[in-house]
This record gives sequence, C-alpha cells and structure tokens, in this order.
Amino acid sequence: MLRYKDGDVAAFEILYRRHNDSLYRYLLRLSLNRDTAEDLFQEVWGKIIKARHRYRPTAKFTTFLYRVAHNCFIDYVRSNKRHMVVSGIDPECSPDPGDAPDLEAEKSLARQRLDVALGTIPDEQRDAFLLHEEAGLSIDTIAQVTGVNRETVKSRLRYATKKLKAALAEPAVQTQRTA
Amino acid sequence: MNQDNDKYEAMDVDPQVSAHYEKFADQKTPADLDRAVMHEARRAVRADNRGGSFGAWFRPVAFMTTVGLSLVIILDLNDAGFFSPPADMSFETAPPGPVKVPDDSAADASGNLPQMTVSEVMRQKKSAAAQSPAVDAPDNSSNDAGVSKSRAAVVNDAFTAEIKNAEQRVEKTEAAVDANLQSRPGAAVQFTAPQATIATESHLVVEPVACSNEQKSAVEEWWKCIETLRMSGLTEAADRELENLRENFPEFEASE
Repeated sequence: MLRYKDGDVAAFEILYRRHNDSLYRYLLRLSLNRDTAEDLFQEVWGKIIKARHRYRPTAKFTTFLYRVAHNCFIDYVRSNKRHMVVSGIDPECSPDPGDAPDLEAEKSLARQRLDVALGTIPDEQRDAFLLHEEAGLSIDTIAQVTGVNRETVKSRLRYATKKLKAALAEPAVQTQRTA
Repeated sequence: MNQDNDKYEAMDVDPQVSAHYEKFADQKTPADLDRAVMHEARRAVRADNRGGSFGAWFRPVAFMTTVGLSLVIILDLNDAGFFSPPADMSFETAPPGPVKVPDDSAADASGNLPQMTVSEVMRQKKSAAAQSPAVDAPDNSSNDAGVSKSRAAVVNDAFTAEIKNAEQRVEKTEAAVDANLQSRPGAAVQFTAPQATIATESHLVVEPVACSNEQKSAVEEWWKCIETLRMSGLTEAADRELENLRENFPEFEASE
C-alpha cells in the first residue's frame, strides 16, 4: 500500500489479487445479493484507493481492508433496510469448467444450502463468522473491525456456528422448503 | 483456513462448519469488477502525477498573482481616496475654524477680504477647471483613477495659488501707495491730502493728516479743515495748518 501511495500500480495489483476473491465472497455472503456485493466491492476498493495518501501502516492491511468493508456494509444497511428481503445470490455462478455436470450440480446445491443457512442468521453473527472464515481474522481483530468487545465476538461466533451447523445438518429438501 | 481443532474451540467455531464453508464458498471476483478496480487505481495514480507536476509551479504562481493583484487594487483604491476621509469634512470641522482665503473677484470695495472655506475654494477651483479644461485639466482622456489626484494635493494647489494671489495684491497695493505719494509734491515730507492712506496688514484706512490745496484756496474752508483736525485730536497738524494759514492770510481773524 505504501508503494502504491508512491505511484506503484503493480504493487496495488499484487495487493488486490491477494484480497479480491475473499473480499468479494465476504460481501456476497454478507449482503446476500450479487448486485449489492458488486457495488460494495467497488465502493470498498474505491475508498482504499482514495485513502492511499492517508494510509498509515499501524495495523495489517487485511484489518484495514475489512474494516472499510464492514463500514460500507453498515452504511448500506442503514440506507437500505430491505437488503435482507432480496436474496439474489446466483447458485450457478462461476462454475468450474473442469467439473462434471453431476458434480457441479451437487456443488451448486450445497452452495445454495450454505447461502440459505447463512441467510437465516442475523447480520452481526454472519458478519463475525464471515470475517473469521473469509478474512481469517482472530477474535481480537474481529472485535477491532466490528467495534465490539471480545466476548461479544465470541458469542456471535458461537451462535452463528450453532445455527449453521443445524441448518447444514438438515436434509436438502427440508432446507430448500424452509428457504 | 484454520484446521486446528483446539484453535476452533478457542474461537467458538465448529471445524465441520468451517470446512463445509471452505468447500463450497469458492466464488471468484467477476472479471469486469477486476478491470474496473484496476482502471480506477491507474487513473488515480495518473491524476496524482498530473497534479504533482501541475501543482509544483501552479500553486506558487497563483499565490503570487493573487497577492500582486490585491496590492494593485489596494494602491488604486488608496490613490482614489477610498480609504481617506473627505477633505471637506476634515477642514471644515477643524478647530481653528474656516480658513480665510482672499480672492480678487470676491473682494469688496473697501478692501476687506471675504472669508472662504477650503470647500468653497475647491468648488471654485473645479468650476474654473471645467471652464478652461485646456489650462488646468492635465489629461482629459484619463479615467476616474487617473483624474483622481488626491484631494489633499488639490487643496495644496489651491492654497499655493491663493497665497500667490494675496502676495500679488499686497504688492499692487504697496505700489499704488508709492505711486500716490510720489505723484504729489512734497508728499515725502508731508501728507497734504485727507485721502492719503496708511496701509495695514488687513485693510486700508483713510486718515486725514493735512488740508488739501483746494481747501487752502479758500480761507474759510482752510479754517474748517483746521477745526476738523483739532476735533480729530490732530492738534499738531491743526497748529501747523493754522500757522500756514496766518502766513498766507494774515488778515484772517480766527475765532479761537
């Protein structure tokens, strides 16, 4: 980021390639809407680009990046209360061309079950779970990013895991009926 | 992803849930999003480069230009008298009172000089300048800023001109008195005419100090003149005139 601040675009590209997919999935699972995720994705990177002159390496770039992403999502939720109603994640997105059609169909179904299960838990718990799974952040870092204390993060993670485990353990037909 | 069960326990995350998520959450960023973000990153760097080279010389030049223009405007307003109080107010309310400025055209017959304020002098000066622009107006084509020589300078010019006029009038008066004295025989020794004058600083005063030749032609008139001198307190002149009268008219009997 410091190199990009000095005008090195290649350094930014390396940074971007390191974090782009995980950030995209974080925003996609968090917002449960593809269009919203893409808008938030561009907004987050736009803010990172604009903030390059003010950036200070006081923490890991991952922490800085996901803090910006978390704040963008919070702003989106405040300005659009209906984001939970629309669930537009395409289950057939980015298919792997090397997979067989049967295997791809099974993965698509499992991905859909995961999205449905994630949609059943509250935003705060899903946020904590995704920050742990996608960004690999520790409890303390999640607390720093989300602005809550450590025990709250642990509680959210525990509840999110419990609900996801229960939802994924259900039969696929029942899960789809619930969704 | 974390695969250590102890760590998962500490994190309150089930490893099976985490593994399931890792297995099926494999979406990639769309290519158009990648291109859009990278395009924005390159555009920001280009803007920085342009802004850096442009701002390196533009900002100091803009600052100096602003300062220079401000100074020019301030000096121009100062020359136009924008920041100074009107000259009329400052002089008319001055403690010594109105300034006495003599003027030939306004002087009365007795020689007393009118009292004129500076504003009146200014108005006369402006009216004179308007009547004869070729003489007084330095540049008819100039605009307000050019014509606006400061009011103080105009007042100084008016004072200088009036002082010169006063000096010329005093010189003329003195020359007239000298000519009057020289035109009369024996005037250097004796004032023979009642209309002989004594110049003072402010005005001319007519003092009869001797009888005229016309009065001396008739003895009665000469005697009346002597009586007038005596009643005026000029006893020495009266006695002198009486002595002359007795020499010229020894037969006259003056009633003492």
